[in-house]
Amino acid sequence: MLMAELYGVASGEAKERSESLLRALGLLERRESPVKTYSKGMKQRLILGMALISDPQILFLDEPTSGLDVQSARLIKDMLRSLNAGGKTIFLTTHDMDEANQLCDRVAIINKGKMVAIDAPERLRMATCGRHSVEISFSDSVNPETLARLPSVNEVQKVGDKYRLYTESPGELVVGLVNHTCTVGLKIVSLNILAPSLEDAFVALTEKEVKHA
Amino acid sequence: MPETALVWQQMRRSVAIARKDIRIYYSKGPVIIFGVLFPVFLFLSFTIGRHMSVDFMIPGLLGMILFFTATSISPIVVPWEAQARTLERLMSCPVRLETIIAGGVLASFAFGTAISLVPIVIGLVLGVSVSGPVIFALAVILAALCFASLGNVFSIPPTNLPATVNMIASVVKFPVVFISGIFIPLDELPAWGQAISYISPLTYFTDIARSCIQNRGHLPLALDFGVLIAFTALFLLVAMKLHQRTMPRRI
Repeated sequence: MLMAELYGVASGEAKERSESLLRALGLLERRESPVKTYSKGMKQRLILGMALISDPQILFLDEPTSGLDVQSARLIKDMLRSLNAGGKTIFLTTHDMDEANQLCDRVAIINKGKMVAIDAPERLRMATCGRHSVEISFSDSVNPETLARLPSVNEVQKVGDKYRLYTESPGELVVGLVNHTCTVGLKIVSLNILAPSLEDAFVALTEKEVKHA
Repeated sequence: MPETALVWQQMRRSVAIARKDIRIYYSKGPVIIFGVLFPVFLFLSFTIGRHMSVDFMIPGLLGMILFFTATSISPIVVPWEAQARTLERLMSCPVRLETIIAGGVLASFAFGTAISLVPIVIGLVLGVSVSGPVIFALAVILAALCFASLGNVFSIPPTNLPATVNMIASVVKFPVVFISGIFIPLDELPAWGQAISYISPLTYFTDIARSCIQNRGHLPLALDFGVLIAFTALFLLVAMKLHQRTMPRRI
């Protein structure tokens, strides 16, 4: 209600709006509890509610889901999607590439205070087409250097119990991998061809900036 | 929006900020008890055994309680809020900095005025009579506003540590109590003592209170009121101008 007063929202309207916002944010039952007893996720949801009490057309949100539990993060993301669908413009700053990919129509990548790219997430991903990769796991341990020597492999990364092999021609690499496993007597447990992620695009674009500098 | 409507809008918002401050910082049992007990015990420690009349004690006690309560919490609200990062949220709202400061002053003023009723009621119960109750009430209100404004001056240094601000406030508050005619009436002070006492706003309130309760004012009432108004205006102006400079360095 304080925020409503500070934004000049009429008290009747503020009461109505705060109740519907608290309900939408899953906080209505705890409305009488002191905020210091709230979890981090609840506090973050409350802050979003405070920002929405004046029904702004443009929202600036700084890492709205950072460090939150899965449920709170999902609730906030769903709310942001519905606000955006309702016509509100949302500026979101985040380090979470997955979140940016899920929520944003346009993504600007800022490196050292300078905007290095701005486009739709899909177009940014496609702009770094050399970053296709094949994610593979084997039945036994494998020397990554052996994998790096396979034809058309640009880079090898160990990701948990899997290996991610970056390439420009994933089809050729899959054939090479199958032949290699047959030769050395290994079994493939799983194999996925991955398109470049927004994170890959971010890394590629920011690395390019560093090289130019 | 026309200028008068804008002023009215900002005034309403400063009242909202004052209500928030009272709810969060002032209406706590320990704050209220400390607000009353600390000046009472400080006063008693200087008066017990000196065979003073109730008529003499009540104006001094009232002056001390009003001064200490109206300047107790206001200096630390801004650093507290800056530390809790709620100040930046407040500053991002459509409120002017003057509105935030006015809200702080209003909360402190309400707290000081409410707590000052304690020594007034004690005095009335003990048989103290007040001549000119309207003048007396006006003096309490004006002094509360003056001290509340001074409280906001203490929080100007751009530190977010409440302990530092408290230390700065204490360095000013304690000497002020000793030079303001609370323990020794103005007319009993030597000339140099009187000269020093005139730099304290508390002197003028104590003088009005003594005039109303003891019929023993040292200065003309119009002068007391005039100087209190001038101090209030000065403290408000200084608080608003200098917070303007230091506030951005807090966030």
